[in-house]
Amino acid sequence: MALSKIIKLAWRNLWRHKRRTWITVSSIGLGMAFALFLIALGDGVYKKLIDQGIRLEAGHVTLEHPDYEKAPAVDRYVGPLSSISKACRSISGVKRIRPIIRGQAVISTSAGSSGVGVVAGNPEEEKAVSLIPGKIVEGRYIEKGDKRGVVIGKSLAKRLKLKVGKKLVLTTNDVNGELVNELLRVKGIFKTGIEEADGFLVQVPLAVGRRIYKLPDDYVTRIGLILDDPKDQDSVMEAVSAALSGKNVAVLPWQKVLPDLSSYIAVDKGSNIIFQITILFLIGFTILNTILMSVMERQREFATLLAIGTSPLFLKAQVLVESAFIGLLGCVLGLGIGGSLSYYVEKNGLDMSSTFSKGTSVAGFTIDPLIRTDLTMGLMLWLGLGVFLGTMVIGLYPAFKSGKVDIAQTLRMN
Amino acid sequence: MKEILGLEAVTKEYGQGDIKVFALKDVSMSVNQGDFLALAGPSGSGKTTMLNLIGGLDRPTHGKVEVDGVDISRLSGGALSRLRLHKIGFVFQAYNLIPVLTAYENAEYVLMLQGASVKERKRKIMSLLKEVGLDGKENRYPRELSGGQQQRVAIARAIAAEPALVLADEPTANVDSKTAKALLDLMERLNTEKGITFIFSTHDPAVMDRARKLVHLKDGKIEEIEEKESKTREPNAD
Ligand SMILES: Nc1ncnc2c1ncn2[C@@H]1O[C@H](COP(=O)(O)OP(=O)(O)O)[C@@H](O)[C@H]1O
Ligand SMILES: [Mg+2]
Repeated sequence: MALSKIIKLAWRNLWRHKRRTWITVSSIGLGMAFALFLIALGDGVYKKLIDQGIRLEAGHVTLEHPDYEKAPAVDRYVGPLSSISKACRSISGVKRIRPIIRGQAVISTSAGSSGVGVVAGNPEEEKAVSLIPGKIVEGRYIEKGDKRGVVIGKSLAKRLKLKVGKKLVLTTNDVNGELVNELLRVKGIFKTGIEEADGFLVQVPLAVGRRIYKLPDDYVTRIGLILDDPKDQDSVMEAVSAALSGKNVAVLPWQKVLPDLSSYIAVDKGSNIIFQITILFLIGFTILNTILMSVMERQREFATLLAIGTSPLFLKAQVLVESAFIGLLGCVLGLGIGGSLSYYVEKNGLDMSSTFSKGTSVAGFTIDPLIRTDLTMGLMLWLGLGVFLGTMVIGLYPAFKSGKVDIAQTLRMN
Repeated sequence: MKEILGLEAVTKEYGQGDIKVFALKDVSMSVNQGDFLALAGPSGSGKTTMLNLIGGLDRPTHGKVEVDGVDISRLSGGALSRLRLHKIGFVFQAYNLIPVLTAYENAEYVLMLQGASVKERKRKIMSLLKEVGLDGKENRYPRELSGGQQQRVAIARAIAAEPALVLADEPTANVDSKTAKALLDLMERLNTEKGITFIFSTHDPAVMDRARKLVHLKDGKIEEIEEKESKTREPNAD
């Protein structure tokens, strides 16, 4: 059959200039490996940032009063917690339900005062989700029975000269708008490396928060849902919305709750894409150059083949199959190198502490110096398909040219 | 004798306006099946142009070219391509073999295009390569063959599909005189034994001598047509 002949001819033609073919295939492969690794690395960093963000704020999906997002205030509370929890627990993909009360306050000591964010949560739940319980450097984390216990960040402690066991006064407005004062005792000091947490966040048990702000029983300001797999976010949101329909509850994705982080990731992805497109463009140029060169120097051969009765379509198909081989080999090399590199870094992590200065942060979140790639089958598939199809598209022009040879004129040239 | 080729008042002009070149001017002639014909003439006399027009590689500016009863100047590109595949064999001065194909594969190529089965190709090509004296060299690539051997492969490729007409543009110009003689012996034998019609061009008197019909070209015109029907052939050299 002609097709097997086309493939055979194309394959042999590919290796007429072994060096040139290898240079092209390796430039596709290396460029692709580089792009794959960078994308996987970026995705890994984003994944970690998102994870940190949701651990600090609430969850992948957040349930709150419909007006809370516009103007967060403790009187816009959501509940009853028991029935919402019950409804959410039956939805598959929901791993944890994390109720918190979030409010603003000023804390004062003899050394001074500072505005802070208050996060009141169930210590048991927080230990499983929040960053802070694992970052205690002095004292201990709050416990359910702590009537006046509070944990504060290292830099806040430094500013207000606070130590474990010391007292502080927390001043805030309750749900009725009345000024309240509460005496609390420092149980522990944490250090996350995230300045927004270490300098401005305090945590108290849920019951203490409810008492301070005078929230009704079974009501909180936010219910965070932690998912088994963040990719299920959309479907879980749909199910939650359906389960809670009729209740006065807004179901929000983390992107709404952490808008700064979300827009940072979008911008960063955008600039990465420009970079990746530049790489792919350069690769594309190499491919075009190689295929075009191999077509131009075979003009005489093409003229001969046409003269003895080969159809122009046969020639075009042959050149296109050559491009396909180049694209295929490049993809195998690129996905092989990029994939194994990404896989390795996903498993072992890449310690960037020498590159990142301590506490490099984006949108208020510190980048962990041990970064891991996030390699997915989908990414490999899309990149592979993209590069392969790109090669084929680039190969169209040389293929078209091969069938357009002026036979008589070309054969005259010696 | 059946007429296999007819040229009627064929003119080929190149360029346009003041810089017009007449490569062929008002040329008429006919070729019969089984002819062994040489187009003779100095460089620039129009030999290549004429072969290109006959082979459907180029179109005449005026006039008619009939191959096996078909006016090919009116054919579409696709029809010309099919005509070349089925009716015409080409031999070039520079052999023009496909470097990535072996001798066997080069010779087999046209049969493959015609859709012949692997078995049929094998049967035909093996005996053909033996016939042109390339026994045992089937698997060599062109670069592993001498000029004369490459031209033998080219001849095998040209006749493999049993075309009505084989066109050879200065087939011996790139080889020494001994090899040239051997190639002409081969062509002549294929002509007499198989009845294949050959039209070849040359400016070498020793080669012209071998033709049974000689068309002298000069400045794009036929000067003289020499019939040497009675020419006695030397006994087979091989
Ligand atoms: N593409 C072309 N453009 C202009 N002139 C051409 C072209 N091809 C051939 N010629 C001219 O046509 C004439 C005949 O050329 P050609 O058929 O190649 O002669 P030969 O094969 O006998 O050497 C020459 O004068 C040549 O310069
Ligand atoms: Mg010539």
